[in-house]
Amino acid sequence: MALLQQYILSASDYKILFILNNRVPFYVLSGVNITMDIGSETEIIYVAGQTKPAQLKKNNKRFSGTIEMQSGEWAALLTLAGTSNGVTIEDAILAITNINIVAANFNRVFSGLMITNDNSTIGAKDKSTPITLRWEALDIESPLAFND
Amino acid sequence: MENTFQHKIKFIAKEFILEKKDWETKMIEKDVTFKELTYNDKSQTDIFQMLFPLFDEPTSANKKKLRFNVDPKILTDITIEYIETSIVCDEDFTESHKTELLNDRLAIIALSNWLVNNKFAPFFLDFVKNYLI
Repeated sequence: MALLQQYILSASDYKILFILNNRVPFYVLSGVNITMDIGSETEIIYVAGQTKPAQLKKNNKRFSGTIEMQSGEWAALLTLAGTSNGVTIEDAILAITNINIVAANFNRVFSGLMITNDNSTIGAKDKSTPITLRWEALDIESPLAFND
Repeated sequence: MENTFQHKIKFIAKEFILEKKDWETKMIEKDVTFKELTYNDKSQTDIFQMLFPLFDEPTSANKKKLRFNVDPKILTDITIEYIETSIVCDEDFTESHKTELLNDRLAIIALSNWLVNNKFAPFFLDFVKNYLI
């Protein structure tokens, strides 16, 4: 039981940093949801004379995700960036790590990040108004990566 | 705005190193804003009660030289309670930094030594003078 405890991270165990292309760092304090999607395009290779797939190949990696945060904090970040909306933000960095001791570090650093969609809704009865940002990135940084 | 003070604290934290594009665990130094100890802040009630075992029972005879009994365990517990209730987080010292500070027991001991001399003892002596004797 005690051994498993070190593998269980709650949301408060993460530190989330957003670095704009002017290299101003901004800790995301009011994050509601952060999603990260690391994927690659796959293709099934068939050969003549055989019905079963001969090979499953992949290439073209994709790094994308969403950041949902409170609109007030997003407004402050936009002021730092000197812009009125998120889709002008390019070449940013999203860096996420765990701050409590676990067996291994959960580190994700996405670079060359571009905000592709800045989505906000204000509902008449809302108690808070989080905005959703969709992003895509060029690379994931990892000093431990052997296969990247 | 509440009555606050700033104090520089060193502790182990993860910092993002832009050149390496990676997180590094290192000793960092930050100016941290604390709420002053006050009589009427309900969030500080536990701290106030935890201070009693650190001092001799106040009487009119010892009120000017109240003896302080060093108990590292109690002192550490008070400091942790003080960090949890009385640090004012901002963009530079976030809740994440607070968690990292609470993970660094040596930083807490160092902070407790400073707090007992500069904040806890003066506050308790002031309380003894004003309320008990």
